[in-house]
Amino acid sequence: MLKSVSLDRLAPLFFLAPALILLLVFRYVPIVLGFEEALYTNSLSQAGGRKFVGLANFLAVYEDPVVWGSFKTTLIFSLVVNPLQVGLALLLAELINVRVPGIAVFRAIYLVPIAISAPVTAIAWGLALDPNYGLINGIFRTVGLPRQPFLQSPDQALWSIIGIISWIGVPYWSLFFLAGLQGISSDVLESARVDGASSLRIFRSIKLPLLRRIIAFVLVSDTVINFTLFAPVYLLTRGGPQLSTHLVMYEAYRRGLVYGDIGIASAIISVLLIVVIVFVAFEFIVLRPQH
Amino acid sequence: MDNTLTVRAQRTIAYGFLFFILISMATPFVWMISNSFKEQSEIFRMRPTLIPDEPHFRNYVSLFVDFDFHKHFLNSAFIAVVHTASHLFLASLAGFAFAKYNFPLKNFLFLVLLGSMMVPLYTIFIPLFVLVIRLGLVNSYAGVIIPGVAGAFGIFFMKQSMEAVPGELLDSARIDGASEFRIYWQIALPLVRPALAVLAVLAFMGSWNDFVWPLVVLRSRELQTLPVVMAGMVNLYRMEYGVVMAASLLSTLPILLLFLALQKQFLAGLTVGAVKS
Repeated sequence: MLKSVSLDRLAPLFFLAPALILLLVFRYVPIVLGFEEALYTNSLSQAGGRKFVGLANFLAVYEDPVVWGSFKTTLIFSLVVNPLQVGLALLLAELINVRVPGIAVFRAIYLVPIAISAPVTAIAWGLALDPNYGLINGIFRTVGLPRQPFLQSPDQALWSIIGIISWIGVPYWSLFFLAGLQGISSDVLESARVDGASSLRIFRSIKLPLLRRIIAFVLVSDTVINFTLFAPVYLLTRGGPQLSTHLVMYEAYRRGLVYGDIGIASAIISVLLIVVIVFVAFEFIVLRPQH
Repeated sequence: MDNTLTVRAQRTIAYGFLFFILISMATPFVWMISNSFKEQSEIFRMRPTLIPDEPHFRNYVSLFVDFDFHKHFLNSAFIAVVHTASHLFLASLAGFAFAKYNFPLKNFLFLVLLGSMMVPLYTIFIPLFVLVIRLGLVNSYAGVIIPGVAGAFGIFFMKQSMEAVPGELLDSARIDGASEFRIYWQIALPLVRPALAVLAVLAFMGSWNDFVWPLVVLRSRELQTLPVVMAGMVNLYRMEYGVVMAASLLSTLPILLLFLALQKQFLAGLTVGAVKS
C-alpha cells in the first residue's frame, strides 16, 4: 500500500522523463558538443585528424569574408523577411476572417501552399521564375513588362527567394492569426462597432492587443525558421549568383558536410545559435505582455 | 440606405482581395498540375499553356519505373507515421504531467523545457550529426526520427489543453483505483482529441516535408525520403521538369488530403489556449 502511494507520487516524473531525457540528449548535449567541436580541427574524411586548436576556428570564421558575407546576407534577409511575413500574414488573416458566403472555399484554397513542402515549392518556383520559359515572365510579357532574370541575377536572387518562401510562410502563419481572430468574442467587436469605431480602429485597439501572444509566438518561430533557411538556397541557387543568396545554413552545410570540416562548421553554427538566441530574446522582450 | 451601400462596397472590396489571394495562391499549383501532364517541349514553350495540347501520363509512369517513387513514398510515410505517433505520445504524456500534477523541481523542469525551445534542431545540426554518428545511428531511420521526436512546442501545446480537463474526473477515477497511467490514457487523452488532431497534422507535415535532416543522416539512396529524392531529380535531371512536377504533385497529395479532411478540427484546435492567457 505504502509502496503504491509513493509510486503514484512519482508518476508525473515518469511521465516527463522520456520527453525531457530526449530533449536533454538531442538539444542540450549538441549545444555543448558544438562549442567543443569548434575547438578542434576535425575532418570527417581523415581518421585521427582531430587536433585541439583553441579558438582558431572562430578566428578563421571571423576572418573569412565568405562566412562573414553569409552572416551579413542572412541578417539582411531576416530583417526583411520576418516583418514582411508576419505583417502580410496578419493582413491575410484579417481578410479571410470576413463572413461572406463562400468563404470556406476560399480558406480551403488559400491553405494549399501550406501543404506543399519547401523543396517542392522551390522546384516549382524555380521553373516559374525561369528567365526564358517561366510562367512569371510569360505573364510579364502578356502585360508588356520587360523580361526579368530573377534567380540568375545577383540583384534579384535574394528577393526572389524571399518571395518564394513567403508564398508558404504567409498563409502558414496567417492560420495562427486566423485562429486567434476567431477566438475573439463577437460581443466585444459588436459593442465597439455600435460605439462607432472604424474597422481600422477596432483592428488596432482591440484585435492587435489580444493577438499579442500569438504575434510573439509567430514572430519568434518565423525568425528561427528563416535564420535556418536551407532548402531553396540548396536547390535553386547554391548560394549564387555571386554569393548573393549565400545564407549561413548553406555555408555551414557546405563546410561541414561537403568539405567535411566539422570544426569550422561547428564554429559557424555556434555563432548562428548565439545570434538566433539574441534575436529571439529581443523579440520576446519587445512583445512581452504589458500589465 | 447609406449603410447598405457601404456594406456592399466593403463586401465587393473583400471579394476582390479574396479573389486576388486565391489567384496568387492557386496559380502555381494549377500550373504544376498542368505541367505534370506535358511533354518537355511544351513546358518550355514561350507562351505557357494552361491545358496541355497533348496531355499524357508518361511523366507519372516514368516516376514509378525510373525513380522507384513508390519506395521513397513508403519510406517517407513510415518515418512520418512513426514520428507523429511517438511525438503525440511523448508530448501529451509530458503535457499531462505539467498540467495536472505538482511535483518537486516542477518549475526547474519547466525552465529546461522553455530553454530547449530556443534551440531549434537546425541551429545545432552539425553537432547533432556528430552525435548521431557517435551513437551509431547514421544512415538509419532511428537516426532520422529519434532526435526530433520530443519537442517543446508539442508539450506546451498539450499542457494548454490538458489544463481544461476537470480534476474531479481524474480524482474519481483515482478513488476507483485506476493507475495514474490509466487515468492519462483512458480519461485525459480522449478529452483532448481536438488538440491531438492539430498536433498530429503539424507533426506529420513537419516530418513529411523535412529536407535537411534526412539529407544529412541518410546515406543510402534506398532509405531516402521523397523530398531528398526529388531534390536529387532536379540536380541530376534538370531537364525532366514534367517528371519533377508529377512527383511534386503526388508527394503533396497526402498532406493536402489530411489538411482538407481535418480543416475544421484544425482551426478549432488551434484556438486552444491561444487567446486566453
